[in-house]
Amino acid sequence: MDPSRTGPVVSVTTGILGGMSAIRALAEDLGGRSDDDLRRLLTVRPDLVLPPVPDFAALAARASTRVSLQRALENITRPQLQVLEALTVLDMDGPVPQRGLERAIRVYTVEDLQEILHELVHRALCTGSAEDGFQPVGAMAEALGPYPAGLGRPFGVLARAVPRYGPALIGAVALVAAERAREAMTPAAAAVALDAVIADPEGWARLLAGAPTGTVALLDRLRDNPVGSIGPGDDASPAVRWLLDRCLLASLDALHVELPREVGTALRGHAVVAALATDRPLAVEATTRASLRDNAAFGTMAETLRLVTALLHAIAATPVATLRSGGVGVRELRRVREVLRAEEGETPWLLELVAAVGLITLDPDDSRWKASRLDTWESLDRDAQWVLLVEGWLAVDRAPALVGSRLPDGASVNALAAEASRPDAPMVRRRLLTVAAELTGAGPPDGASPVLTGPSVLALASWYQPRLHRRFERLLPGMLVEAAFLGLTGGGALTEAGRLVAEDRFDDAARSVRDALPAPVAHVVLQADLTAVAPGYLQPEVARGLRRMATPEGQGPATTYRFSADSVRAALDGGDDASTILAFLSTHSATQIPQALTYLVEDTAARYGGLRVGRAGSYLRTEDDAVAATVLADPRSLVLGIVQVAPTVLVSPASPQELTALLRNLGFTPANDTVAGPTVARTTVPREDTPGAGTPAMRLRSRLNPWSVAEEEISAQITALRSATASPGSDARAASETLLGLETLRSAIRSRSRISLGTADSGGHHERQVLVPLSVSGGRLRVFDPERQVEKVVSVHRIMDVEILEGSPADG
Amino acid sequence: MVDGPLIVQSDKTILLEVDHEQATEARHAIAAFAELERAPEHVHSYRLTPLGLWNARAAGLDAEHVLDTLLTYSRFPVPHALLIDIEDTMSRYGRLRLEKDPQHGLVLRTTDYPVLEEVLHAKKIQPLLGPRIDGETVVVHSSQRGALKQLLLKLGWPAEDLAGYVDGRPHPIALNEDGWGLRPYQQLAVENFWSGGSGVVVLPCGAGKTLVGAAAMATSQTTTLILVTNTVSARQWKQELLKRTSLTEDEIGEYSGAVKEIRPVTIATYQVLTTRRGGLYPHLELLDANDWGLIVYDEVHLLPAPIFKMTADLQARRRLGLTATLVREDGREGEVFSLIGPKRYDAPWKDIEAQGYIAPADCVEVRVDLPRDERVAYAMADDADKYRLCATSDTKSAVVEKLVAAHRGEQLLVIGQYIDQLDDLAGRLDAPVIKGETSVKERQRLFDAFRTGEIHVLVVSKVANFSIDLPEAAVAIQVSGSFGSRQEEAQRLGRLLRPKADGRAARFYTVVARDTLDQEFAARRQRFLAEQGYAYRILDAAGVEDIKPRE
Repeated sequence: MDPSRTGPVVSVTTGILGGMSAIRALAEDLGGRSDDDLRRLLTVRPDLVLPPVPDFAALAARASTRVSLQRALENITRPQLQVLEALTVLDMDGPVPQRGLERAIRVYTVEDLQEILHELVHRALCTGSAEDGFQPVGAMAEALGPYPAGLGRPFGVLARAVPRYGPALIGAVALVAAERAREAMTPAAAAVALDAVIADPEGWARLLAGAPTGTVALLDRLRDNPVGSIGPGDDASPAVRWLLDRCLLASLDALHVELPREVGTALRGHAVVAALATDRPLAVEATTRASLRDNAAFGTMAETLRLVTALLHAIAATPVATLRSGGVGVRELRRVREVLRAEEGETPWLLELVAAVGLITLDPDDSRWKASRLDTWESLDRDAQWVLLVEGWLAVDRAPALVGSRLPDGASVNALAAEASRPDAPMVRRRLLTVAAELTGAGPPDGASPVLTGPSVLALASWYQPRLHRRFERLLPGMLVEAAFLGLTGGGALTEAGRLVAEDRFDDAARSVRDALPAPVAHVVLQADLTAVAPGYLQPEVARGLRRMATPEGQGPATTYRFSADSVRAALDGGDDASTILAFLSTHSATQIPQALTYLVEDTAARYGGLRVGRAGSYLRTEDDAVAATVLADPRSLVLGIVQVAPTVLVSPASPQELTALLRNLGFTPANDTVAGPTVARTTVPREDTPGAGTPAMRLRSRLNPWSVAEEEISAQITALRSATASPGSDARAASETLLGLETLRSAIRSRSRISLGTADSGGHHERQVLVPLSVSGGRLRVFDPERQVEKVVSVHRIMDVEILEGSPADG
Repeated sequence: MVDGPLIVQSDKTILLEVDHEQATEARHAIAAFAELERAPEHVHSYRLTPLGLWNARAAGLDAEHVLDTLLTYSRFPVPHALLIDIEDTMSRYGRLRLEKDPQHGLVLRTTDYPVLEEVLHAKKIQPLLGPRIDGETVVVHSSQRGALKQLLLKLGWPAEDLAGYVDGRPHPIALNEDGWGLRPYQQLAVENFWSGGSGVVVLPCGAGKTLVGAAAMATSQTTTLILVTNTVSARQWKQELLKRTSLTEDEIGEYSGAVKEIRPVTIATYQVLTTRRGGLYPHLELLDANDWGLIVYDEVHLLPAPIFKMTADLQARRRLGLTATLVREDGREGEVFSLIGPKRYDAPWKDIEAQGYIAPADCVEVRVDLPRDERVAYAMADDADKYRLCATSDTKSAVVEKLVAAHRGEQLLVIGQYIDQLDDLAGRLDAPVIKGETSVKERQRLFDAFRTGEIHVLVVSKVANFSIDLPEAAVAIQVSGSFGSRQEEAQRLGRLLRPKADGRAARFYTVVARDTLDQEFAARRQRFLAEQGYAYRILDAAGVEDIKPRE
């Protein structure tokens, strides 16, 4: 290229400054890969083909978008991220040779590094090879955020971005490297001069030697988190003052400072990465015995299943109301908790759990949660119930543990409210399980189970997905507790069932649970204190029968049912009589029915029905039963459905007016009672909720990973890509051009080049201007107009084409 | 999972299946740390409470032993949270110790510095303490030993009292064992108490608590103050001591409303001690009147609140509490624990019954139908009068007459609440009445006559509830009672539970008016009795004819 030319030298279609477009290079790289390699790539980055792409250029373009990169970054391990960040930090002007990379990492092995680079290239996160050097793809710098590798911005960038920092740099040179101070220095030159001192280990050590006490501690604090806050007045402290004067800290505002990248690197021993974290953090603090673990796990498991059943019964009896603002309110929760006699905090979790499985559903008509599948639930064996809960938990995109936590505005998150929704929850749970399985597998060989603490799980999860550290930090502790509730862990250690679930072997997990949970009992022990004790988990139908006639008490594996006059009356109301109650009890009792219980049932039944209640529209009473008989005998009285309820009382469903009219016709002379009759409240018959009636046994199973791509889909995609390469369509080309244009823009931003920008305004008029691009994000390009000396914003969708004008750096 | 006899519930109860082959073993294992709550015929239930666990710690059990017992005998997995809770609770006992320091006197010492810090920062505790000696030790004002223990218990850090006791003035006392001997469990109770220093012995009514007291005195060999519920009880203690020990009439004093004697062994009533005149307790000086080496509290579960206050100042003296139950209707179990001492011995009465030391009881509820006019009167009565109306129905009197006739020749008590009713019954049965206005002398005379068999039937009001000894009462008929108090029920049954010469089962009738409040209260009584493990039957009034006088 001819450096003397000042016109447009690079256009969108001819590649970018310094060689071929990175996207184009990536497209070529992808096109040259084997089917297997492609398949692996698409498996780890399924979003590249969701929806399908027409050709490799489009595939490369999508792989280079910020969103796709961010998603891919979430799935790389800590050492991979370290290398990628180092690449990004080093990559200011073109590919980074492997030597350069090695210099930027203090502790590493070449094999590890090569393997990591290979994997990064494979994942299409960087391009290149050991010979040509490596370069991160597309919008990587943007995807990684402003502080890659936990380093601040370089002097040069800070000088442009932070007010008064540029001039301060010039002043700092005199303090740091007096011999390099020149008159009329530019901030850029000052930055170079400062960097020369800081980048030299001896110079750096000398510089620090003269620092006031507290300086090193302060720097260490900022080493991995470049932006820190200083209290008001702190800037008066000698250390802060000293650093600010020498521009080793940049003051962002009154309260915040930033550690420049050069200083951060120097603090890490003049490297970007102090040590490559290739070792997974597998250490755990404590272990527990397998017997204790299983005791805890199966105890909790049985308890959770019991509580879920109890909760469903409670909701079937009284649906759970929601607040207008969404979710279940505190008062309603308390009501449910009292019915369940559950611990504080257990109720929201149980509600969330049954909602996750679909055992309760929100009725849109009255905004109440109703138990929709109680029968189906009860018909399942306990191991099947358990699997159902586990699957629902794994799949649900909510974080029940967030219920009760505070929102930024001070309100707390309600159960089943939208605020506890976390789309990434299923992914975090998967990670939790795999990490738990790995920690357990790495435990001591003597059979003791490692206790999974929050920190140990968090450390390993964050090693696998360092970019998700914050999310893990927020979600994992709660999920660990939930896993314990489900019996996936016990006493903090992963159970056999938990391990099988981690390996997706649900059927095996169910089997191990089935073997461990005691078989249901079919009998109860009746006692003279009017209780029935079920010595274990009672068969659902027996439990249902007992609940009709007695009140359950107690919490734990065994349930005590207490009989009282009220409870027996409830059974009588339900259509039982003394003999059926006693027959039921003698069938299901392991012992004789105590005499006192027989008395209770029979006495209550004998008293039952002393008063009878029914419904009538009107009544007819007389002093003379002969008159009543006459009325009843008249066939015309049938019309109004007159019935005799006592010798002198007749009732009819008709209104008093109709009855009076009829009787007059029959020749009687009825008088109307003046006392106000009973007001009949027309209650609506509750709608029977019988979903599943007629439908085959429902499949409550939840889909575990919405992001998965089937093997066939990938194969189809690869075939499509191959054929597209043979005959590239022009439409597809156009689709990737936008990205190429953006890439050009970014490259210009980075090299601070001027561009010739063609835009179209709302009237369709074209305009061409020479501008300096500053940043592009959110569909908007911020530019500096050197002619008018103003900044302005251009919408990306108005840009027609971009050309870089070479040889004219904007700030020179 | 083993197929054990226990089911450990997450609500801190433990169910014990009685018919299980390991049941006895498991019962003994858990009795040390769990309180028996209900003992119906098939499944007993125990409760784990902090006090129970601390009692176990005081008896030398550690958390590991408790957890191990639960895990060994449990049929199902034991709730993990419960295990952790037990461990945590038990570890709290004994972190603070009251000790005697040769230099500083009474001190509070800890092995756990933060606990002491926490305690020292409690506002109420600060004034009870003197200067701090070092990180782990702080001086305690010796007068505040009891108050401190009370407060520490409330804070959840019960202190172990190792500060020892004053010896008291020596006084020779020996058991006079001719023709009888201490039963093994009584022996064990005394040994446990003595090695523990102070504390409570729990024995069922009729199991010989007085003898445990006497044996403790014989071990102590010091002057002794015995606190009892009332004068009748005081006389019985005196008689029992004269009969069973080397003590003579001159050595035993009575300190009651009527007599104020202070002797080497003095028996005082709670009532006289708690009498107040002008805001002062004039008889408080009794506590300091002698250098007592032992203080015995009879019926600890009835100990009135002011006595607790006085007891707080007696922490340097050995204290023995005797009771049938640790359950207090006022919920002050914690004060018994901190001021009298931990439980030192507890024998489930079923065990003692099985050994033949107390008679089994047979409870029968007789249901009478109120005649129509009484039912109407009952239905229309004010709420306040309802119970009295149904409880004193005339129909009951007829049933009582039939019952008395059926048990002719047996020693029989008729117990009631309403004096009119009792007077009426006494007239019909031609039997004497003991009620509030009956003089102590007359009561003694009637009791003696009943004991010797001169009188077969005695009608008593609730004055007879506490601490009278009626060894030959074989049948009791309750016609009315106050509102289903558990305490009262235990006492009444206790009257009958003393061993009969011929080993017969005692019979306890309750006459109840059907479909009334009376039956509602009876239901509570029934639940309580059934929970205590008594056989409980219901009879219709018509069925009374079929009761045969027993051979």
